[in-house]
Amino acid sequence: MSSASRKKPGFADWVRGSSVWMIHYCTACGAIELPPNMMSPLDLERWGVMPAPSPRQADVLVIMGYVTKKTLKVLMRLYHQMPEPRYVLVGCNCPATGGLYWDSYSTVKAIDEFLPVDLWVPGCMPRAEDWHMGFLRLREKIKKGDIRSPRPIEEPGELEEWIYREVKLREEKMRRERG
Amino acid sequence: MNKTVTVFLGPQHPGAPGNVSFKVVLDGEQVIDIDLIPGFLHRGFEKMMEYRRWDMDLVMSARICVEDPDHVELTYTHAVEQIFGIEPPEKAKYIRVIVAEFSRIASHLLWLMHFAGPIAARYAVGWAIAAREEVLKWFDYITGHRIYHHYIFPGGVRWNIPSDFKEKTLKVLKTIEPLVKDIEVGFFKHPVFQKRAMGLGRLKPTEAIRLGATGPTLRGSGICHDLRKTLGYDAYTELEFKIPRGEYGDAYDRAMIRINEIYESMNIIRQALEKMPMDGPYRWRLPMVMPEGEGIGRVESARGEFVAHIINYRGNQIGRRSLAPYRIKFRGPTMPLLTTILKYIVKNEDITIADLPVLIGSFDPCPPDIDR
Amino acid sequence: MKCFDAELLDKLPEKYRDKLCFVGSDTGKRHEVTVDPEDIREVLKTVLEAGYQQLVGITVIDYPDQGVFELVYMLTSIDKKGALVTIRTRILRDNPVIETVSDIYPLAYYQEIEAYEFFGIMFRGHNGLRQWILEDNWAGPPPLRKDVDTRKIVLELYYGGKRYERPVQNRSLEEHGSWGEKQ
Repeated sequence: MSSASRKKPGFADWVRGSSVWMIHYCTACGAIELPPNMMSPLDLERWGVMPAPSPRQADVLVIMGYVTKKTLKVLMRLYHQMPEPRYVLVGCNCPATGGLYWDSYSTVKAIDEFLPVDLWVPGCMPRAEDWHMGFLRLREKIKKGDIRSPRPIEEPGELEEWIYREVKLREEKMRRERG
Repeated sequence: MNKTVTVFLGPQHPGAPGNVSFKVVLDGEQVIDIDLIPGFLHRGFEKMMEYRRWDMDLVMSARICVEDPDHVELTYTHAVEQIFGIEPPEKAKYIRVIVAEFSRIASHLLWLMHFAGPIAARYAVGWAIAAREEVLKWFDYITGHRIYHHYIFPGGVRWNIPSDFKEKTLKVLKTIEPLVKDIEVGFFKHPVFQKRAMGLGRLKPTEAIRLGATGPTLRGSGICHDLRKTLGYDAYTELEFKIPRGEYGDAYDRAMIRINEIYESMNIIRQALEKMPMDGPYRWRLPMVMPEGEGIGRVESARGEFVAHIINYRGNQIGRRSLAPYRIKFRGPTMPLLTTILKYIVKNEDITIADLPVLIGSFDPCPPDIDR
Repeated sequence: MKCFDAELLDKLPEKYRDKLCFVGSDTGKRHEVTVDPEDIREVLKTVLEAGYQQLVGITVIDYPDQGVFELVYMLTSIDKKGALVTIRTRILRDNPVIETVSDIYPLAYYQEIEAYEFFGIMFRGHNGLRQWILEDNWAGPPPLRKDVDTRKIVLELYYGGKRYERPVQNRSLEEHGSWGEKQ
């Protein structure tokens, strides 16, 4: 990730940064502070942020709160269904370092090992203004060209391989069930 | 020729009430069977709570239900106080009532988002979120945090109230009231809403009791049962309020009950502000070591009956700290709503797939309750 | 202590009639009786007839030093102003098997699935015992048992065995320093 990889910002970057659509998926706790953002006091729709119903129409995957192993499989499938260029915004302490549930047997402690993250919004939970600043900073980052997409995927660790294998097994099972 | 199709109303769906998944069996447009797939929000609370002290457990217990966290803290507090064998001071009881009723108002205003969203009435959602913002600012003023307060504590409440408590609270109520009236007139009397919600998902009274419904779902079918009146905990025994109830048991009745409950909550808060003693202690300090015993706490949260069962036992300590409680079990009100009642209604009534999010929204589920 | 519910006292089987007692304080006031695990279906049928129509939950407590699981069935009544009854039984820890009550109370179907996946108790006659909440989340021994130390398992898997010097906390300072100056 050296400075040679950062290209000059062009018109396409400005356009992408002006209308960032997020997937309509309330992952966990932190989703409670998003309705005050989308609507009344802090209107995010004036900045071009809209909840999109399908991952094929979305730009950013917002992870609000803790991520259990079952949700992680859904998130990885969503991430792979999003078209490029795509970004990931992570809020709350729990996916960053483990947070309050550090000794839980079913949450993921560091989401950074599975998905390439662009912006972290810390807090438990982050206030509505913090989420707002998070979205604005993401816009500036995209406009300046600081985010490079497609990204090189790092060598998957042991846990990642297990999750990938589980996702494949689950997809085969669902294909068999649905015919 | 008539083949049934199985669809997943999956976790990522604008009509799902949160992070849960349903396995829906369809015949054309009609829903035949429905199964719940929980587990997306499971953190293992009951095991984690056995490794922490009882006051650290209060912090964790608030995160079980994110839309209405004060009632979970209240039921945990009741159970712990039963084990210690004490009662909180008078002032603390009234403050607890006021905080719990504001939490109920905030939860019902957020419920409108899950209910009016699938009907595509986003104007009402905007008003409800604006009114909720005032309540969250009040919480920030009293307790220091907007969502998870950790204010109701075993032994009383955690901090003293400021000196302009009465004026500030009455001002908040005065700000919210016109917005709630707007929602009632603009949304609940709208013909489109009435056409979509009337006659949807009728639940008869005997079936509602048998399947385990509590809260507004049970009162919508005509049965007047509210734990604030029948059991009477904290300061509810000294306040007068009515219990709104419906007659027919469909989604319209359940929705009207919640709006009327907001008005009743505002009434309760005004009464509690007048009767509250302004002097006196607000908290008894409790020792760190919890005695042996058992406590069952039951409160009427915004969705129904919330039960906490705490057991402390000093036997052989295998793999846990000695100051932690032995076993804690929570049972949230959402479990019968999304499993037995939904299955029964789908099997006995004509529900199309377009009505399913509205029906689920009329029960007001909170998915973290099921898989804590 | 004497009990206040004459209807429940009449309908209980003979051998438990003098064991019914009234305990608790505040919102936890309840009638309580301890039964043998073979009679659980009969007792719950009589409690249902006595007017307690809702099953609130089934709590399972693990006592490894006594070698038993204790099951507590909590039942409430709507007609009797929210009165609570708890029925307690004890089953052996080495071979935990008990009859199901899901045809008497509909909610017991799901509470028994939970008891199965968290503690490993088999319910005779239940046709849907599986991993319901824990599916895809945990593959291992039933986690709420006292001899399964999940904290140690998590520390070894995620943190490399140490609690206070977790590698995950030092990681982000090195990598994210070159991804843009301040943000």
